[in-house]
Amino acid sequence: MPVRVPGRRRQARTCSDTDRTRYVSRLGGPLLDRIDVCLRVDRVDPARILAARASETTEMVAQRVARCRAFAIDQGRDPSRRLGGADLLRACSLGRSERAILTGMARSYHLSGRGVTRLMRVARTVADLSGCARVEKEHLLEAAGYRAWQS
Amino acid sequence: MIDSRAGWRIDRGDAAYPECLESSPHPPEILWGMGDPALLRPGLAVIGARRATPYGLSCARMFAGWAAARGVVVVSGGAVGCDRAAHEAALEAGGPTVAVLGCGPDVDYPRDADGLMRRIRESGAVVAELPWGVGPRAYHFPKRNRLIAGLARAVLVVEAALPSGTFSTAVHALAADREVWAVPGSVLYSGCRGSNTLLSQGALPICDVSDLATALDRLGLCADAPGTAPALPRATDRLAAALLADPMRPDDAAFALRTDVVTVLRQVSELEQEGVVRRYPDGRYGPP
Repeated sequence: MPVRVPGRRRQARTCSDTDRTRYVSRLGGPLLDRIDVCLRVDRVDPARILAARASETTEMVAQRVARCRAFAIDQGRDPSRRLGGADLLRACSLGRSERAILTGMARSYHLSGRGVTRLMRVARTVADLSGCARVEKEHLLEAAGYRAWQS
Repeated sequence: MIDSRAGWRIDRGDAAYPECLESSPHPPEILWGMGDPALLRPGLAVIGARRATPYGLSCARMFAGWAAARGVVVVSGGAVGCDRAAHEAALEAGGPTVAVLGCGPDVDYPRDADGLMRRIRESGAVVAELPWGVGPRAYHFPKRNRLIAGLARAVLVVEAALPSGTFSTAVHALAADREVWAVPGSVLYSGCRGSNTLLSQGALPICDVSDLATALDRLGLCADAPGTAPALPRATDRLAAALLADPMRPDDAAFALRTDVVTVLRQVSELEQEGVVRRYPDGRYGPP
């Protein structure tokens, strides 16, 4: 994807806003609907790398993923299978306020049915990562932050 | 000159020739246009950078929309960025708007992807001193700027670098004895240096809608009761305050506020849901 680096980092820009908009507008909704997580990875300011505190090692991340999967299995789910429909709803066991938030998101982000399912699935994984049996508000909010960009 | 959709030409000396242009330096001999020629009356020019920040675009939208809703003709240059934001807001408000182009009035430049030019030709007016079919040339734009100033009673600069086309329009405005107003911008960003310089040179600062109302009222352009500024989104917490003042990506915000990215991501999603902030195409979050 052509990248336009925003703000003051002009020297690294490789395409214009117009090019970017044109490119994104070619990606149809159905295609974007199939992307689980959309995350921007920007160049990090070198000063910040030098100032950074010790972060997670690959082993630590692998352990987290293993814990997350173990938690899902413990909850009676098969993490290698995609949840959908009634199974997904049951696995999330959304409360009243969580349902309201999800409905609000679906409306304001113009999510399709597939988009809502996807958001719930990502939220389920976020909840698994923190070892929560139910999908809570904060998990939904975090999952919404990973949704694909609209044009 | 009867069928406005088909386009018209007005020669200098015609009864329809706008008086405000006649009284400005170097008026064009012929005006070519499409749309409603009656809109060529003194209005408010709302101008700013092409490569504008979300802040500049929001300001252009807010002030142009407010003025147009009260019947003030919003004049701008039809360029991407602030100009288009101003035209768009004027049309949305159902108000009058005039685009002054650096090409023929029937030429879509830049590519009219969202049909903005078509909509201005239908419910506003598009004018140029160049005849049909003439493509854009870099040297047309500085000349076009004097027409923007000429067709306006006051020029509101929402965001301008120094030097820049927007700044030159402000200089034209002063030469034509028009008022120059400016929206204060960030002191950390070079793209606001032009507008901030205008302020230090005596341009009237427009900080909210009531400032604009008072100024328009003084010029007799709009008689709406001043002093009714709508509430700005309230910054309920540190993150909201930071993003409203300076749009940032979640990781930058986390760094600035010394917290972790996941927390910021959750909070920012919630703020977006509440309509306090909006996600921009470049990944930053800022004023809607």
